[in-house]
Amino acid sequence: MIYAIGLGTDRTLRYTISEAMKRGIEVNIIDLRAAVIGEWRLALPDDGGSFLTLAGKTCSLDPQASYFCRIVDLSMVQTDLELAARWRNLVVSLAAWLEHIPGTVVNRPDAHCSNAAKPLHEYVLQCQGFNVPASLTSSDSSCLAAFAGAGPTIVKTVSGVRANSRLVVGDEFNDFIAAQGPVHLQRYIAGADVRAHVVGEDVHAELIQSVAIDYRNPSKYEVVFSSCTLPDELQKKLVRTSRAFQLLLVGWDFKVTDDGVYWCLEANPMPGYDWYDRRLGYKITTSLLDLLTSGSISTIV
Amino acid sequence: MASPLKRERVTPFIKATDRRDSVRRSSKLPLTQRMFWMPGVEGVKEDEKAVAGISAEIVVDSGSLELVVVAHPSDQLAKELVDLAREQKRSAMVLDVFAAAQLFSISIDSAQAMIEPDLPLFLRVPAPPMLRTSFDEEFLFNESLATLWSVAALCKSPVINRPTSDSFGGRVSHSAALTELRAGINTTSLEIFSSSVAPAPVIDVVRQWYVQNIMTQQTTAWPALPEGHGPYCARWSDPEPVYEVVVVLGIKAWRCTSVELGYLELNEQSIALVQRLGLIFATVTWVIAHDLSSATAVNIEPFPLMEQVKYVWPELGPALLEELFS
Repeated sequence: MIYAIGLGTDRTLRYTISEAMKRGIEVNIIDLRAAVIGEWRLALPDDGGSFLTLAGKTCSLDPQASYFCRIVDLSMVQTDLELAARWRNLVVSLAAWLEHIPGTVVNRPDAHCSNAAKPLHEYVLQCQGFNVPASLTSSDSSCLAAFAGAGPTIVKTVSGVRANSRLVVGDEFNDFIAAQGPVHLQRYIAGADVRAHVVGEDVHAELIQSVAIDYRNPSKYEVVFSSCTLPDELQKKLVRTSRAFQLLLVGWDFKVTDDGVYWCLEANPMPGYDWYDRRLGYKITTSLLDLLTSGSISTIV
Repeated sequence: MASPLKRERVTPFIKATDRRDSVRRSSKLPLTQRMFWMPGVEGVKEDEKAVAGISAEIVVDSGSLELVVVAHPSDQLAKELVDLAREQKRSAMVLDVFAAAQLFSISIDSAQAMIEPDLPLFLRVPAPPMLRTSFDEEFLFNESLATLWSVAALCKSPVINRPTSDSFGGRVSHSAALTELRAGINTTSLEIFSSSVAPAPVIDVVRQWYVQNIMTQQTTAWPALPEGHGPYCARWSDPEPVYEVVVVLGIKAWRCTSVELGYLELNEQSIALVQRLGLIFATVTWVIAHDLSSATAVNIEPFPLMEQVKYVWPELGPALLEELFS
């Protein structure tokens, strides 16, 4: 039996639950929207009495069990302060509880959170030996214009907020004022995209060929997906680095140039892997569920 | 220069001779209690946590600036430190999250990080508001925080409580029990987070079960209940706790009372705890046994208020500047 925690509307969470059930794995589903209006008791250190109630039913939390987590805090989008406080407290308390239990947690909430600060994240990846495109984060129009003018440039968010990436040119910063900043620019790498999911020791990669700047967005351009095998040394590095980040499931994004150089864009600690998994013959799910049902990963406090 | 009025108002509290001569008695629940997942300054009123969209009006001459304190404009400790720096003829400013983020440029290339300007930083970032004021403001707050996190982690200049790739504010958790585990303290006190008041799990004639309403921060000794609807946090503690607070900065530490407790080595223990949590600046609150024979660390606060450090400010203020300008 495994636990799945997140929002009932989360496509990836629903997919994981569905695939687990198809394989006969019992899943305790914890929809945070239901939990936040129910009762909860979370004990640290766990005393055997931690639980949540969901639609009137009590769900005991087993600290020895395995947890698949896609925890999102919706406190800020509430309109009622009391409900917001319940969200905030439930999420941070649950995160603390998941940090300290001995069971397998994919992923522990505090593990490698620098993805939420892209300049730092890129620096850390470079220090791990990955090729990462040069970047500039600034509110200075002349600096931004100079960087964008020096070569093909893409604009991204600085934080972990999902947004569409696009190409920019130096002239776009002519009327830019500092109060519009900060802006995160990165040198654009032409080539195919590669998405690699690391699950414990397993690596499942997909090659994505398109002329679109961001293949995830619907566009007029054709996108061709195919499974691929990464160079052995790169696979080892991904497994090693994911472990160093204390992450059991990571979605790695790369660009690969025509001459075979891999450029790392980011390591996503809460990947929406289902889209890729369907095309890869459910290999990511198989690795993930094997990991969750083997229960062999020890605590990281 | 500092305002004479402000100095006059503050000085009576911060003279070394004003240190209390007894350990503090309080019914406050001895917990590390953080309401926000972002590191924030405890004790600041909710309306003060609201994000102020004043960045565009702040003119910062980064060329002459020597110290940036990122804090809410009402943060007394931040203001006092900047005043002290200015008394030492240093150019220092308190900036909000937005203005501070817009000050810096970060270049990352070939495992080299260049921050411009590379300035000493003291981060006391206010928590975001409980409710979103607007999508744009929340987005800008996150973008600004991500920038400051990167700047503070990567700059060469000194930073008080430098963030890492794993955390913005050290390894201090929302949960006191988890913080204790991370600090290497053998946790003996159960901590319960709950939607309804969690009753005392067992009858204990030695310890008292305390319940705190996290919304109001009101704490009561069970079976008395705090007002309001929760959620709640509860924990065992001494029935009549007496406290000592130790302020730590690097390898320096100052106790806030002058009670003879040297044999407990609270300064040395506090320095070690703070280091294990990846911090250099924090207050450590100890519960002292009634016979003064032992002490238990119950709270580690990396963003203490002026109120919490005022007794040692004459030593702490200059030491902070020394650290920042080292």
